[in-house]
Amino acid sequence: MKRFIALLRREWIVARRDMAIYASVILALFFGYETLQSITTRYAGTSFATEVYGALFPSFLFVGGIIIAVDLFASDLYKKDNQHTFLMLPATNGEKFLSKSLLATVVYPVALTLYFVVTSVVVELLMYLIFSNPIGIFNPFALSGYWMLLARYWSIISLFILGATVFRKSALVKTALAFTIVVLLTTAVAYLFLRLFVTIRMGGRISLLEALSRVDQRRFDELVETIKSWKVARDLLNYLIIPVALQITAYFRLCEVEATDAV
Amino acid sequence: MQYPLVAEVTDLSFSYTQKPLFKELSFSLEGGNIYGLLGKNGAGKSTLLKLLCGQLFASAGSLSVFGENPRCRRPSLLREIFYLSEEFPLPRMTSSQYLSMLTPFYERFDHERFAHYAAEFSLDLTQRLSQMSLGEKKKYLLAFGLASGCSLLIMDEPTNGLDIPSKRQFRQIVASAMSEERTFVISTHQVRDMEALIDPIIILDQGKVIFNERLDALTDAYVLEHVSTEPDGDVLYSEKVLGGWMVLKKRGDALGGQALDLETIFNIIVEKGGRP
Repeated sequence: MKRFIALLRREWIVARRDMAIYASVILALFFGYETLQSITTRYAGTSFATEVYGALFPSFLFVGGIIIAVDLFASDLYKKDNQHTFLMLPATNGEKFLSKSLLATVVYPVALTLYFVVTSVVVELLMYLIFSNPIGIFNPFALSGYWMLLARYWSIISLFILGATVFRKSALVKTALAFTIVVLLTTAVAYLFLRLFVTIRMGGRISLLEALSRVDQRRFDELVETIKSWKVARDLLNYLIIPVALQITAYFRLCEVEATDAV
Repeated sequence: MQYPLVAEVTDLSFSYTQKPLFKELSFSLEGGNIYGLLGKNGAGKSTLLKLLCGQLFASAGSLSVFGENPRCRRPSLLREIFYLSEEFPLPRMTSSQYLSMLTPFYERFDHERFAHYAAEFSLDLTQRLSQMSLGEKKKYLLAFGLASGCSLLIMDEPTNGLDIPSKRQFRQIVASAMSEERTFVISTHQVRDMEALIDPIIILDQGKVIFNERLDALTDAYVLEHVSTEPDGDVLYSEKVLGGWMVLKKRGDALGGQALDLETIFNIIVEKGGRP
């Protein structure tokens, strides 16, 4: 446990300067946006727009989280400046992986949520004092689908963690490209399967669109309802099985890198 | 006095390519010594050091350091090994950040001792580590390693890049940091820098350890004698020097002569493929 805390502390020392810049950017952005909005509302007579925090939270969560997660792994696994130190750190590979994964998947979203709340309080108070604006503090639980957002974040970030351990350079772009290719390939396979199914059931002369138009609407709706009832299985797959599999694969990749590339 | 075994290498084989670098390499390291690891370019000195600290894995044979297999890289072993490699980029941070980042991993790290070594090396600890010169970085890591409390300090060409006063400081500090619980393995080509420091000597040649002994075993038995005429073929070793030849003779057979230096010892052993 002591080593694990030391690893978390190490990550914090390495990243705190960048985090401070990131936090300042968020604060400046909110302050600037709210000021402009207040001025526009006061002098142009437009109605006061809804608060910005909830609208921007998903973007900061995903974009910031992905960048941070990729940097957390790539900098120690593939950057010459850190490789040697990371390799010789007296900690197990499991501890090294878990500390990084925990920071990217749990600590970051929690910290970002708290930071958004604090920032909104500060900015809103300032806006109230300067412009007497109504106060609209960021409430994550009022945000529609906050928990689902976190679940999606966990899935996506697990994918990028794997990408950061697999690709030596430009992991962010390469992971996004690789994911796109996988999605396209899966779609192509699904299309091919559907095409074959239609051909077998209805003969080769009928097009896929025509075949779909001939599907009995009642039966189609029933099918859609059946698929909807698989939600639990789908959610389990998307938010538990796949992310865990990705994280486990990323851990083994880290072990492999520590045994080969890092030397 | 016999000290506990720090490392034991038995029939170790390793290769980067088809051609093996080490084949059935065997030797052991005892605690409380400053080992000098010598060898020609490409003999595998750096590779051997990396094998000892678990950065490379042997293809055959056994290797144990403090009774553990370094390839497992267990934290219990890693915190006993400090490896100062020949190339070592340092992160863009201050010394205090670096220390607070790494010292929690080394339970026996002594901050006072670190400050003492840093002062001895005249290091400016307010400077960013990445802005330090090569020599300063080396001295910084050396101070860190010596203060870390690690029992095995492995150094690859530690005096490369050090200025002349720093080389002297290095020798003094390593000698003062030496204890029975501590072992140094220093790989070097700069034998003159290290002559007064390293003993025993391990010489690697053609994938084998051809010498692993204390120097006094040789210096007590042999001397170098300067002769003006070319020696005949049956001398133990001869070397052309200004104004004649230096000839290796048994101490009893020589009329005076001078003590063997490390460079000559290395040349003799490599030429003979072992002890004369």
